[in-house]
Amino acid sequence: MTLLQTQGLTVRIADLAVCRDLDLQVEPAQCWAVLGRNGSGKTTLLHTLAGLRAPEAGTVRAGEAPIDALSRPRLARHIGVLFQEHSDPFPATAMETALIGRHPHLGPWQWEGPRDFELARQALLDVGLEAFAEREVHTLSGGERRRLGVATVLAQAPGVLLLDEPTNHLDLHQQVRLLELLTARARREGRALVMVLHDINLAARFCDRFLLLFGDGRCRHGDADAVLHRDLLEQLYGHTLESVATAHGPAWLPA
Amino acid sequence: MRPASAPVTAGARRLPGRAAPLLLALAVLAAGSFAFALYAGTVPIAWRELLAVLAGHQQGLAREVVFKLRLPRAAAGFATGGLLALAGALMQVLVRNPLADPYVLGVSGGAASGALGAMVLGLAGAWVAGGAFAGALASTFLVFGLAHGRGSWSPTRLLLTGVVVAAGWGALVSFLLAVGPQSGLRGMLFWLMGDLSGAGSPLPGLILLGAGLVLAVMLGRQLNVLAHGDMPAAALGVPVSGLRTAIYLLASLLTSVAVTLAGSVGFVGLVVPHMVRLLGLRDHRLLLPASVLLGGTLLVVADTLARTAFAPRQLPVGVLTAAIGVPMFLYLLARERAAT
Repeated sequence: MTLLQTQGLTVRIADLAVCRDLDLQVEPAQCWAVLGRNGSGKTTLLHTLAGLRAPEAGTVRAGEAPIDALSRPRLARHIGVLFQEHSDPFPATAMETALIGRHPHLGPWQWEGPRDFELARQALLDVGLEAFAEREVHTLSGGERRRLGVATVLAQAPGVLLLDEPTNHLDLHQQVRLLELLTARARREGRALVMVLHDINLAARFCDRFLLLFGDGRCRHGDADAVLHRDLLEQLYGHTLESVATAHGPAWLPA
Repeated sequence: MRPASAPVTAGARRLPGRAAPLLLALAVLAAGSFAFALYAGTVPIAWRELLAVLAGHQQGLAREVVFKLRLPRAAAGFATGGLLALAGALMQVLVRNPLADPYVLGVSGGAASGALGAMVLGLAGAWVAGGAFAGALASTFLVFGLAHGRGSWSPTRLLLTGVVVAAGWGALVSFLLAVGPQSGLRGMLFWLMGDLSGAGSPLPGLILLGAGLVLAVMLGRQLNVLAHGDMPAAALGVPVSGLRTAIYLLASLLTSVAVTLAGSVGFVGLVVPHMVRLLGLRDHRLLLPASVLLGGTLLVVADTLARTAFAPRQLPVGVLTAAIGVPMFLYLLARERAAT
């Protein structure tokens, strides 16, 4: 069953056309990378897919239903979002923060139960923060806070994870580790990932579908063979590229 | 290398069971503050006598003093403190700013203008209370309307609108103080500092406090999520704009009733929620009841001291809330730093 589908989706920010007539089908266990320049509207598209912003035209469906026909908690069980930034104005521990991912799964009167704690703990374990469960969030480093954000959306356990630059603030090792974890979990559990990424090489290594936003309403999508071509990527970033053969396939270097 | 932290205990202290002893201790403290308020005063009543009065065995002066004077006043104090602490905790989530207090959206300025306006006109009693309530509600809707404007209201826009409207009310209050009759100046200043000596029946305040607390605790888990931001909360299934409107109206109503009872008592609404957070309760389903208990207790103790410390002269309660609250808060802050 298609997890997330767009039909004739047009998204626009004031004068900027993000995409026109986009037809997208996100299937279980697929890992999508959204690529494009700064300000090309990747985040806005992600928010539109999550139902947080109305499109100019077209529909977004979660499973069978249009997303605006679903109740908010139901939608949140289907689609989870990792935002670009985190805000923690009030004190909380890492565990408390991961547990808010369980919110859409609980009834209005329900308290978090053993299963919710178990899922939150597993999520912290997955991102390597198990020893930090009782740590205050404001004592975490930028990268640790980022991994905690990923843990929260893992605890939410939605069918589709929309991740806005999940590798932000992460060191090289943690970037690879996180993408390994996310893609492995998604493929094992039949979830779909849609990630905004800035590193073409990491995207090419971990993702199997690519959506290129050119910043003028044009967009292309498909697998690596279909879209990861030098001319398209050079157009996408407005920069000349060289490709180098590696064990993981071709790598792209800025000229 | 970061120091290794405590092993994973699953953050189980978030469960209501672990917080129960703390809530119980706060309830005992609240009961203690009532005992102190009923005992202390210019008419000496021994503990034994007080127990007899409470058990209904004793008639006469002591009974009159306890039931007609001290109990209603303690109840009004508790209601005021509880309302302000609850409203403060809600406002802090609404504008997502730990420095917010119940007055941050101009409610106290509106109330003060209404109350002082009534005083300048030579009115007293229920007119002053009515003026305060009307002024508070007027400010609530004014800020709501202005901040709403076209499109959505971000916390920053709401906060800025509130601050600016409050400044406007401040000018009006100064004007009223300047043109008001000399003889009424003391009453006006007492009202501005917060004073329970003119409090009417505590019953409406207590009922609203109870109802508001139940409603707020029902929304508690959504508040936990909303504290992380509007968009993240929406992505987690929270009906953000409806919830924000509900919090706004509830907190404003609670604050309006509190200022109607006791004038603009400062400090409680800002600091009590932080004290509760420093005690380790962050989940709003626990933080809100704990704030009500602690806020109520703080005000009952402060008011009892305000009417006994310099008897027969009475101080406005606002003087004492800060005098007690500041060292308490600083102690908790220092304790937390030592623990981390």
